[in-house]
Amino acid sequence: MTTDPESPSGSDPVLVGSDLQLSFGRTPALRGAGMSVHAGEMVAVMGSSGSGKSTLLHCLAGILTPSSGSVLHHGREITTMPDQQRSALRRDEFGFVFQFGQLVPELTVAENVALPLRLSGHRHADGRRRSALWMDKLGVSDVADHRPGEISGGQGQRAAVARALVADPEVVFADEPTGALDSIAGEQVMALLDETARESGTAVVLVTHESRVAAYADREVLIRDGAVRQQESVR
Amino acid sequence: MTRRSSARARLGDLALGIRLAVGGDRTPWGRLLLTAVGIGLGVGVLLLAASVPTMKQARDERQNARQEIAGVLSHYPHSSRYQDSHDPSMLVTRASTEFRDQRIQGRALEPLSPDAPVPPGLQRIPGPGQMVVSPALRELLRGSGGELLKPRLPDHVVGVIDKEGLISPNELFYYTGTTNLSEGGTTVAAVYPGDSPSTNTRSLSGQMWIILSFGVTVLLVPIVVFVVSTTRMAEAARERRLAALRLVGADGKQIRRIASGEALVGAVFGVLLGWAVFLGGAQLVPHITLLEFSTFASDIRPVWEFAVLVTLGVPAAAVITAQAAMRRTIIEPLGIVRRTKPSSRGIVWRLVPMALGVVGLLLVGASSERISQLQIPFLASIVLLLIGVPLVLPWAVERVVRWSSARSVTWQLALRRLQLSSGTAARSVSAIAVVLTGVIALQTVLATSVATFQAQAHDGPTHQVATPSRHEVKVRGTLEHPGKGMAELADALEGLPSTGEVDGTAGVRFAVPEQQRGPRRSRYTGATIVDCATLLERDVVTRCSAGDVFQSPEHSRRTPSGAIRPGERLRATSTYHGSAGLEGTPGEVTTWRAPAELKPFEVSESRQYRYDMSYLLITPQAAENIPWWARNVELGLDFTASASPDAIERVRNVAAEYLEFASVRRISGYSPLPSDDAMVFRLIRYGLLLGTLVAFALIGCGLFVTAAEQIQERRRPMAVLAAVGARRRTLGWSAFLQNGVPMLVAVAVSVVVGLSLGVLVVMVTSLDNLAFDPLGLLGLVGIAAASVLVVTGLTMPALRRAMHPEGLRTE
Amino acid sequence: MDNDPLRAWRISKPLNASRGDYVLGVYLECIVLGMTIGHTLLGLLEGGPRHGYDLKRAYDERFGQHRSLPYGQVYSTLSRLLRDGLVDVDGVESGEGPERKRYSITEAGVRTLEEWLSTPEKPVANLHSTLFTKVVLAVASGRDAGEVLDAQRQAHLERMRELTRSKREAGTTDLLVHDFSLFHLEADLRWLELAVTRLDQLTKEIR
Repeated sequence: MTTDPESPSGSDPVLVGSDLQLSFGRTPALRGAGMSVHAGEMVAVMGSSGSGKSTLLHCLAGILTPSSGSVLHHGREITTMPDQQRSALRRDEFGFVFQFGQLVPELTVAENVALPLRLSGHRHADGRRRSALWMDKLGVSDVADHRPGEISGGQGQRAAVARALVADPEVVFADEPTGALDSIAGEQVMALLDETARESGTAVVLVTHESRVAAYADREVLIRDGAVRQQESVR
Repeated sequence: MTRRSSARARLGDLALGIRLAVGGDRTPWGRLLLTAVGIGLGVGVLLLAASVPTMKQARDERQNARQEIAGVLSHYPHSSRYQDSHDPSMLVTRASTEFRDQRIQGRALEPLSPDAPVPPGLQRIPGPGQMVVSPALRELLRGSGGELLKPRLPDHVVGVIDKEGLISPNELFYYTGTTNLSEGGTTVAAVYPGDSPSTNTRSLSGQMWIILSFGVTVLLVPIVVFVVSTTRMAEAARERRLAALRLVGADGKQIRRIASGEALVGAVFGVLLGWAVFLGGAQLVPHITLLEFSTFASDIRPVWEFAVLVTLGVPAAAVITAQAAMRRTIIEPLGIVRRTKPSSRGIVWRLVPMALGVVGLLLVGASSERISQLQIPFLASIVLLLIGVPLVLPWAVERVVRWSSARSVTWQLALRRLQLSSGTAARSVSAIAVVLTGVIALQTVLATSVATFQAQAHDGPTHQVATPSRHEVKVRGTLEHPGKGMAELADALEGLPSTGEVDGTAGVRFAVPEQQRGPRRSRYTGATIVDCATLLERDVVTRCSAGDVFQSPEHSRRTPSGAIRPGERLRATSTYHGSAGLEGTPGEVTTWRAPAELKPFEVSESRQYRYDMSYLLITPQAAENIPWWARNVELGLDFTASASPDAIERVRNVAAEYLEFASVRRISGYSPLPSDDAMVFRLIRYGLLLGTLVAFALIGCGLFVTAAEQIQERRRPMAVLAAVGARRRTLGWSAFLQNGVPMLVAVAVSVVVGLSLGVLVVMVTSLDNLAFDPLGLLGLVGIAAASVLVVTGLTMPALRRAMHPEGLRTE
Repeated sequence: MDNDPLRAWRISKPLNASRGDYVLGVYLECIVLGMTIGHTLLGLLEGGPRHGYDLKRAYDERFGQHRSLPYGQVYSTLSRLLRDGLVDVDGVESGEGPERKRYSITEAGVRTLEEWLSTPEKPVANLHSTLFTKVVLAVASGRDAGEVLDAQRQAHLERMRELTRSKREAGTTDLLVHDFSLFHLEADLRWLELAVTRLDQLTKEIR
């Protein structure tokens, strides 16, 4: 089971997961999977349903704790961090886009985008400004005062991308971001994600089973049955 | 750049919680309002219940104030330490009458000195011929029946009793001034200056107290449970909301704070609303009369400790439960977001409160102290047991749905849904389960009490048993004036338009000294003055001649001193005539001498006539030297067929003219005045019934809201099912089952726990004759079943709306 | 007109051609071969008469993304069209060689063009027969067919990444072309992934 990919540009990886094992009850989800994420790159994690790709993403992001293995963020071990530190990490260094947005229905879109900042304790004015900035970039400024229940799926996902990027994170984790969208809306979201992440130098870990979505990445990691089968080296 | 560790940041989290609570996703304020209303109703009811002790206390205080001028009955020598040293400042006597099944009570006052105390609620003592009445009595006198009442209360109304002189707003009471009390006999009381008679707050007997406190606890706990479970409304949505936040990077403490903020908003609004409900209810309550009792609005104030407990406790409880419920969100937010099944529940810790409650009750029962000393452990154990029910219920529901297999589609839908969210389902019926448990236990205890009372009544001395009588109405009393004797009264009564024949007998009450029981101890014997013709006519004796006196042998058998001996001197007293015994002497006394021969007669079985109850029968000739004031009369009469219902009032008016302390009662359908305990028992039963209804109503609302919330939650799946072709009927029945299955489990648990609790309490309070109330039980189960139907029915419109394809929209 | 555009390939191309060309070639041949060139030229002529070299230039500009149309092909197609009466020679430039002829579209040509434009293409599911052949042969000979498929997969993905990168700077016409390729590549990938899952059964059947 391979754990380490070739480093693309010789730089140290931002995030390195190695030999991760995790089971849900009796069903093993990860059997020694591992991968690394380098600064500014977009990595696609591909596999069929049930292959464990989402689980790998959750482990890398510190959402799930593997039963064994390690996840290093700039050399610091995430898996043994106390919850408060890990949450801080997720708030400030990571961003998240999920398949179904997970925008909070009670807040307006603008408030949703500003959420990570609010959780970090930033001032309201600050949060509003940056939220407006990112909504503009993602083209959802016109629905800023609407609630998530009133906007289309594509708009929602773009808002989720804005939320993921609002805190200027190091890594954005995107789990099937276009899964619930039609191909046009999906293209829009991916193009924008690509553009904005590239612009701010944010790395993206992109879990998907669609090849056209994975094509936006610089390289791909293939998972099958909880283990990484092959890695593609980047040109 | 994080700036987490500041108080501002913490407040920020709370503020976020508040923001989330206020911003509903369909309608802002909608969910918040619903929560607040639910909590508000519950809090309002709790505050009203907490006002009952103050109501009682205020009432007692006013009662005591009135008692202050009740004085000391003069025929008990040395009953007041002021008697020897002072002269009385005022004489007081009581009067009462009945008018259309209502009691009217009054006091006649005769001030003897300028500093005679003024009764509470009055400006001055009414003069002779003057009357100060309660507001209700004034209305009565002014109203349509006034003329019928006036003859008995002839005095001129000069004022109205103020509030502090009244015990309840609808009381019929009066004070009147008079001048002839010094000859009023031993029922006149003397008020001595500076004397403060001991206040007698009547305390409940032990059994009454148990039943009352048990009942109150049993009804209050569900309200509390209801309030707490209302704070958890829409918890599934809240879990998801906060799980999303958790994924994005909120840590455990933050989530707890945010949840607290959310919970606080609803709770605080709810408490405010609750106070409003209480104040509104306090305006309504005085208009309700429960068994002749009513209260003043100003008396309705909650016991302040309880009020504070509720006002602060409800938000605190909301916050605590919200935090506790966030456990899963903090640990596995992914699971929530993906709506996976939660891990199965443990049973052990859930049984702890129940176990503690049972142990507590057993300890209380085994203890040798009286129950009233062990109030707190007793009630605490009951509360623990009751609280155990909503804890056990989710586990029970989960087990039941897991174990059942689905046959038809309807069942399948319901079961799978329940399997996924057994917690929510159980929560919605938890308050009802607690009510059911409590009421079932209460029914058991009440049934046992009734059985015990009846047993006691049969064993102990009989209370006044209704005297069977030939006549419809009996008039009893003591003659007031020498000139107005029984014959005149009988004529006057017969002269009334609606009366038929009047039949009257006179009687005497003799005191027979009983040396065995101590000096000055006597036994009272009733005698009837009856003529020979009547005796012979009614076959009481076979031979009779003028001047005969008969004695019943049974009388001799029953008395330790034996029969009355010929020549024995018997004292006849009147409590209503003679000087007021101011120097400690009893009222007027006369002596009668038994003749040389006392013939026997048998007391008949039928006891139709008064002399059937007496042990001495005296022919008029032998009773000549018994003065008029020593005789009491009893007349029986019938009404004609065309008599109006108010005819009896006319009889009362006539009787009041002739008799002192006249009592006019219908015999048929007359049940004797229940004893104090029985009265209280009835009051408690009615009160508990009322409380149960309120509790059920409240909880029914809660159930409805939860069911509606469920349907709202499941909008999308419903729409999908409808689109795929599920019939409305299938979904409707499925919804019914979804409500019905948890209710069934709740009823089962309630019956088991309720009956056990009832039995335990009975054991602990050592009431005998364990009895159950199967009809009541069935009634409760029926109510539970009906409520499921009603709630499902009421949520049908919402279901129909949810099935609309609108719900299919992906956003 | 051929209904098996790949026949040429099957015979002439060896199986170990470089990956990139192989894939590319398949697609462009599909586009280029057959009637399409003729109709394209007709369409280009509808606007007005043009010379041969003009036509080639126009074609390459619009449609010749990676490969320009060989002159020989232009003129052979033109002569065919001429033969069929769909174009006419309008005039001749002075000078040497056939480049100097000026062609114009005829009525019949216009009608043919109209028909072609308004008739939908027959949706042909191209049997990716080379790859299929490879797989079958690999299985039959006991080699690891999974590797073949996986390698192809990677090649496809690599190409898709390239195309996506190009899309960043592309104008709208180019975007459409890139997207077209991407969609088809994606379709191929899907088949590849499916094939991987069915290898075991295939092995059983063949051996």
